[in-house]
Amino acid sequence: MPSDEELMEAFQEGDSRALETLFERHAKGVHAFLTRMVQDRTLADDLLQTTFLSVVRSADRFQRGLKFAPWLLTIAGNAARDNLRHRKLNVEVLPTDEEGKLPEAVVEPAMSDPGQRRRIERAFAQLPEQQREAVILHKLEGLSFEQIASMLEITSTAARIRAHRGYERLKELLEEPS
Amino acid sequence: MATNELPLSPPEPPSLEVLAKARAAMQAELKAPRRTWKSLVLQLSGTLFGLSAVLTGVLLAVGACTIDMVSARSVTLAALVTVGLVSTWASLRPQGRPVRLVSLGLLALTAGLLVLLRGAGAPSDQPQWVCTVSHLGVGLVPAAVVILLLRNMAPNRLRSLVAGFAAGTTGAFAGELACGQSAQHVALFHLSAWVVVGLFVTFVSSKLRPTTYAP
Repeated sequence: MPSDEELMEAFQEGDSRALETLFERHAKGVHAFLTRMVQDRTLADDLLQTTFLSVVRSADRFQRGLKFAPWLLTIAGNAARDNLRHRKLNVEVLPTDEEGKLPEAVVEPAMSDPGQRRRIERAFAQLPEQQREAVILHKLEGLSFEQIASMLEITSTAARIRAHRGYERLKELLEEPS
Repeated sequence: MATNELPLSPPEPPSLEVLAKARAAMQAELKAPRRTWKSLVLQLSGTLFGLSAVLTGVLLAVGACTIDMVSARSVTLAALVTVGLVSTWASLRPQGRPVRLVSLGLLALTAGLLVLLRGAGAPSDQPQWVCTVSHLGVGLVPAAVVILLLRNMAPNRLRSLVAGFAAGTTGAFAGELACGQSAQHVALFHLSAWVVVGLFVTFVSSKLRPTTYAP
C-alpha cells in the first residue's frame, strides 16, 4: 500500500486517483480535528472542503521530506483559525444563552461516566483557541512539540508552553464548581 | 495519526452528503488552472526588477539623476535589488520561517546601509516629505501585486511583513536614485515610508481571505 507521501507525489504528477485515496484516508480525521478546533459542526463541514481544496490548489507547496498528515492538519488549522477570526467566533469568548450558560459541547460525551465526560468536553471547548489547538495536536493527534512548532511556525518551546497552559487551564476549569 | 490520550470521545463523523460535496468540489477544482509558488516568485521578482529598471530609465531621461549618481550609489542599489529578490523568495516559498527571519535581518542591514553610506548629503529646495510621498507612490504597484499574490497561501504575519518590505524596496530604490539629501533625511523620510509599505501590506493581507491555506 503506498504511503501518504507517495500518493501526494503521485498527485503532484497528475494522478487524481491518488488524491481520492488521500481523501478517503484523511477526510474523517480532518473533520474530527476541525470540529474540535471550531466547536461548530457546520463550520467544520465547510472547512473540510476548504482544506482539501487547498490541497488541490497548492499541491506544489508540499515538498519532499515533509509528512503528509501534519501538512494536512496545518492547512486545516490555518483554515480554522482564519475562519474563526473572520467570523469573530473565537471560542475564547464563547457565546452564551440568555441565562449566561455555555452552549453544549459539539463533541459527543460518552462511555463510562457521561457527566464527567461532558464536563471535560465543555472545559475543552472553553480553552483559548491557541491552547486548544496545541492540546489537540499533541494529545489527540499524537504530534511531537517539534512537529507542532513546525506546523504553526513557532518555536518548540512556544508549542510546549501553549499545550502546558492548555492543560493547566483545563485543570482549573474542571476544578471549578459546576 | 490520532492517539486520543484525553478522555474525549471522537466527534460525530461527517455525513455522506458533506463528504460527497467536498469530493465534488475537489474534482471541479482539478480542472482549474493552477499557479505554482515558483511562478509567484517570478511574477513578483519581475515586477520589482522591472519597476526598478523603468524608474532608472525615467529618472535618467528626465534628468532627475545622472549616470554618475547611479554609479556612486551602485552598492546600495545592488543591495536593494538583491534584498528585494531574496525577500520575495523567502516570503512566497512554502514553510521557511527561518529564511524569512534571515531575510528580515538582511532588510534591516540594507536599511542601515542606506543611512550609513549616505553621508552629509546636499540640501534640497523641496520639502523633505516629498521623498516619503514619492516612496509610498512608487511602492503602491508592488504592494498591490504582493497583496494579490499572498492570497495564494496561508495567512502569516511574518510572511506578509517580509513580502511588504520586498515591495518597499522599489520606493527605496527610487529614493537612492533621485534624492541627494543627508543620512538623517534618509532615516526619517525614506525608511519610515518603507516601514509604512511593509505594515500596509501586512494589515491589508490580514483582512483578505486567501484562496488556499497551504503553508
